[in-house]
Amino acid sequence: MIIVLLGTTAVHQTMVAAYLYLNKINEVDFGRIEGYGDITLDDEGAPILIGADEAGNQVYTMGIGGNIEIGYRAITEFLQVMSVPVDTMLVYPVRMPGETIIWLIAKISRIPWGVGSVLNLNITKLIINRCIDSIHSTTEDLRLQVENRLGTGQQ
Amino acid sequence: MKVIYHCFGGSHSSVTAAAIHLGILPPHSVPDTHQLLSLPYYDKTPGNEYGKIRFVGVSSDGHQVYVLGKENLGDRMNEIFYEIGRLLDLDNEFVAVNTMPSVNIFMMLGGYLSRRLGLARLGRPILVFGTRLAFPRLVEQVKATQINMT
Repeated sequence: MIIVLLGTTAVHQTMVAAYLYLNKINEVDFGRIEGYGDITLDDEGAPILIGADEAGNQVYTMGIGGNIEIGYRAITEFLQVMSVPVDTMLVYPVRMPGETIIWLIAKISRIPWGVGSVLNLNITKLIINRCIDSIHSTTEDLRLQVENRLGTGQQ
Repeated sequence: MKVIYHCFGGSHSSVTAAAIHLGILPPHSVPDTHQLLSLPYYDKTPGNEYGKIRFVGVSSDGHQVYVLGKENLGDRMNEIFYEIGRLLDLDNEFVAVNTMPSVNIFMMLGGYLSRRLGLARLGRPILVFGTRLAFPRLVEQVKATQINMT
């Protein structure tokens, strides 16, 4: 199964959630999250492959901008329209307080002389650290959903 | 193949394009008010339908045509569909078309008055005027889509 974690960007809270889900980190250690905050990875809007879980499910992150609710619903509808079996792809929105601020900071991260980059990394880390409980809950819920999907294989 | 026409509200330009694609509206004559208001979903979508892909019909050549209101997702909606489609190896099985480039200020104003503010009596004449004005561009978009699909 393909797991896509959706967020305002593919390189902040979604990436942290993916690393936690894959047990690549136990606590948030941004230094070990390869590509964290690297907005150039997010430029194309393409999903970023983070790794595979024990069951071989590939985990991607994808940034869809500020309107996650509508984007998530549209993707879910799209999968139904295209008759994609439920155990083929799981799209999971990573929601947290401050996600819009993270998105806005990602937008201004191109401010020159390194200022944008410093703002991007420091402020987003601060926001994510404050919301880490919410991201942990997200990954726990994601594990349950993956188990359910693979267990039933039904819509 | 499946065709998804999408615009901000999924009520006007996407619905008109879908109707052109399905042959409900003939491409060579600009539709009148009655024709437009009789279209399925035209100026009828409630706000909670954003993000829902609605089936409109099957074209004479067997393609399923859908409409979607994607709010402010803009061109990103196409990217999202194609990226997801690529992951699933489905990118040759659908076409997503953003009809917003055909939308004019009258459609925006009329649509806002009618759908957002609920002032259909005031908004609809402006909306219909705008849709008639945009019709040739929508026809071109649909033709280009149909050519791409062959």
